[in-house]
Amino acid sequence: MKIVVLIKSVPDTASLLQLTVDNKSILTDQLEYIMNPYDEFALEEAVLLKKSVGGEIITVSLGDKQSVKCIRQSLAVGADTSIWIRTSASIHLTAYKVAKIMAPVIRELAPDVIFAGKQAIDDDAAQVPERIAELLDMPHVSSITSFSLKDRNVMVDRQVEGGQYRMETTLPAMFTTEKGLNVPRYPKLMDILNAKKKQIREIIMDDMGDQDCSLKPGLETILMVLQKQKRAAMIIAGEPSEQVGKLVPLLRTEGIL
Amino acid sequence: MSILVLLDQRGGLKPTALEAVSAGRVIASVAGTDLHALYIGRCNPGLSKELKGFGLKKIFACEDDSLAHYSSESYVAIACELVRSLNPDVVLGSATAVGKESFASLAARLNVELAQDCVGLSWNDGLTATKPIYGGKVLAEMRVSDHPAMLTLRPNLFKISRKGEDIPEIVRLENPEIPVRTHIRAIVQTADDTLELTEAKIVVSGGRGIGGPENWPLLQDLCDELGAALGASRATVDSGWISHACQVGQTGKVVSPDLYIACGISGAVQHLAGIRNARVIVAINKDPDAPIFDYCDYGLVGDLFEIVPILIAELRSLRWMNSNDDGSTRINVAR
Ligand SMILES: Cc1cc2nc3c(=O)[nH]c(=O)nc-3n(C[C@H](O)[C@H](O)[C@H](O)COP(=O)(O)OP(=O)(O)OC[C@H]3O[C@@H](n4cnc5c(N)ncnc54)[C@H](O)[C@@H]3O)c2cc1C
Ligand SMILES: Nc1ncnc2c1ncn2[C@@H]1O[C@H](COP(=O)(O)O)[C@@H](O)[C@H]1O
Repeated sequence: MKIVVLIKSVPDTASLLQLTVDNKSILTDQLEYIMNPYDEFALEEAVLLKKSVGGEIITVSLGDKQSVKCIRQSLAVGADTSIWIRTSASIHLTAYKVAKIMAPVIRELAPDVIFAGKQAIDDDAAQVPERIAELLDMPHVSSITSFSLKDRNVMVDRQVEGGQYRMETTLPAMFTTEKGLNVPRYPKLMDILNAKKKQIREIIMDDMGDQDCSLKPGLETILMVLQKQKRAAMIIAGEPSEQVGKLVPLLRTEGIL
Repeated sequence: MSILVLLDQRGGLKPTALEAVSAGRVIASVAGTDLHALYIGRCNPGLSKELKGFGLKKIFACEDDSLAHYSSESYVAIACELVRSLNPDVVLGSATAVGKESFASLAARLNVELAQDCVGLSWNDGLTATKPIYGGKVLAEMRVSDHPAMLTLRPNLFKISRKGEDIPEIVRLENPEIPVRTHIRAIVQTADDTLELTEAKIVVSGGRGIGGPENWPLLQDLCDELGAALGASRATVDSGWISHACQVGQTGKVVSPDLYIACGISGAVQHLAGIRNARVIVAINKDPDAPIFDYCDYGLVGDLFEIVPILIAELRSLRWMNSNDDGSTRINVAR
C-alpha cells in the first residue's frame, strides 16, 4: 500500500500576527511554525493504516525552508520518506497553484491512498486536496472522522451540518481528515534520532517548468486587516441575581431576546 | 452577464441557500446582471414558490430521487455542465461541509480560483470578497477576477431578504446519470437539524469550568430556553466530555451567532478564533483575569453554577410574560 500524506508548515496557532507595511501580507520572520494541526490526523491515519496492512508512507510538503521542521516531524512520527517541493520565501501561491504544482509530483508516486488535512489554518483555503484529487481523477471524501479498509474498499464517516454520512469508495482515493479521526502520537526521542537518517527528496519549484502558474492573477489579496484582539467588555458586577437582572435587559436592547 | 447560485439543500432548501441567493441579488443589482440558481436534488414541486421574491430569473432544476442525497461526483458534474453552457460571471454557494467540498472540485474542473468561506462581498467593476484567514485573526480583501469568479459564503452572516412577488422560471435539466465511485451508505441525523452550531442564532458553550460531563444538562436547559445550540471548548472535547462535533474554535467549528454565551471558558486564542463573527459575546467565568473578559461584550464574573440557573429562571419568566393568550409561546430570536 502506497500512502501519501500532504503536510503543510503553518504559523503556530498562538502566534501574534503583524502585517507588512503594504498591508498585503503578514510578517513571517518572527513566527514559530508547526505542522498544520489537521495534517497530524492525516499522518496518524497513515501510520495506523501502514501498521494494519503494511506499505510505505511518503509525506509531501510544498513550502520554503520553514517546512523542514514539519517534514522532519513527519519522518519521526512514521513516514518512510519525504518530498519537499521547495519554494522561495517571498512567493505566495494560491491554492489553485499549489494544487497544480503538487499534482504531477504526486501522480508520479502512484499512491493507493492520499490523506490530507481538511484545511490549512493559515490561508484557510479548504480546497488543495480536492483539487489535487480532481487533477488526478481520483474519488475524494472531505472531513472524515473514521476510516476502514477492506480489500480495496474504503468505508468512512464524514461530518455534515446536522449529521453524519457513512460513505464508501474504492482506492485509489483522497481523504481529508477532521479532528476526532484518531489521536496523533508524539514521536519518541529514538524516533527523532532515527528520522535524521531518513531521506528527504528536494524538488526546487523553479526547476519544475511552467505549471500554468504564470497565468492570470485570478485571486489577488489587495488588503489585509488585523482583527481586533479585544472587545470593549462591560463587566457586570454584583450578586448573581443582580448580574442576571442587568444582563437580560441589555440583551433585549441588543434586539436578541 | 449573469450570476449563478448553487442552492444548498439537504432534503429541503437550507437557509444558507436563501442567504446565498440574497447576497447574489445584491451583487446582481449593482452589477446590472441576471440572477439564476441551480437546484440539484429530489423532486421539489414547491421550488418556484419557495424562491419567489428573490429577483431570480431562472432556476435550473435537476430533479431526480437518485439525486436526493449529496454526491460530490454527480452534483459537480451537473454544475460543471451548466456553468460551461451558461457561462456566468460569478458562481456563488454556501460554505457548508458539502458546499466547500463541491466548490473545490468544481473550481478545479473549471480551472479557476476559489475563495471559500467569505464573510463579505462587494461589486466595483469586478468582485471583491472579504475572507478570514489565520483562523480569523486577519481579514483579507480579495479581488476575484477569474471567469467565473467562484465563492462560498459563511453561513449565518448574509441576511435573507425577500422583496416582491416575482416568480422565477424553472428550466429542467436532464439527470446525466454519470457513474459515481463514492456512495452514501447511511445517514445519521443529529436530533434537530435546525440546531446546527454553525447556523444557530444563539450558541451556549461550556468549558472546563463546567466541571464534568454530568453538568451539560444545566447548559442544555439554557439552550432549550433560548433555542440555542450547544458548543464546547477543546478542553472538554479532549477530556471526552462531549463529541468533537460540538467543538468551537480554530480546530473546531466557526460560529456566527447573534449571541454567544461562554460558560467556564478561559478564552484561549484558538477558542476565540471560532467566535470572532459572533455579534454579542457574553462571558461567565469566576476568574476576573480570564482572557475571555478581554474578548466579550458583557462579562459576568462569578460561579456559573449560581448564575446559569438564575438566568434560566429569568428567561423563563420573560417567556411567560411574552406568551400568547392561546398558550403558545413566542420568544423573538430573529436577527
Ligand atoms: C493547535 C491548537 C488548536 C486548538 N484549537 C482549539 C479549538 O478549536 N477550540 C478550543 O476551545 N480550544 C482549542 N485549543 C485549546 C486552547 O488552547 C485551550 O486549551 C482551550 O480552549 C481551553 O479550554 P477551556 O477554556 O474550557 O479550559 P480552561 O482554559 O481550563 O478554562 C476553564 C475556565 O473555567 C473557569 N471556571 C472554572 N470553574 C468555574 C465555575 N464554577 N464558574 C465559572 N467559571 C469557572 C476558570 O476560571 C477558567 O477560566 C487549541 C490548542 C492548540 C495548541
Ligand atoms: N503547501 C502545501 N504543502 C503540503 N500540503 C498542503 C499544502 N497546502 C495544502 N496542503 C494540504 O491540503 C490541506 C488543506 O489545505 P488548504 O486547502 O490550503 O486549506 C492541508 O491540510 C494539507 O494537507
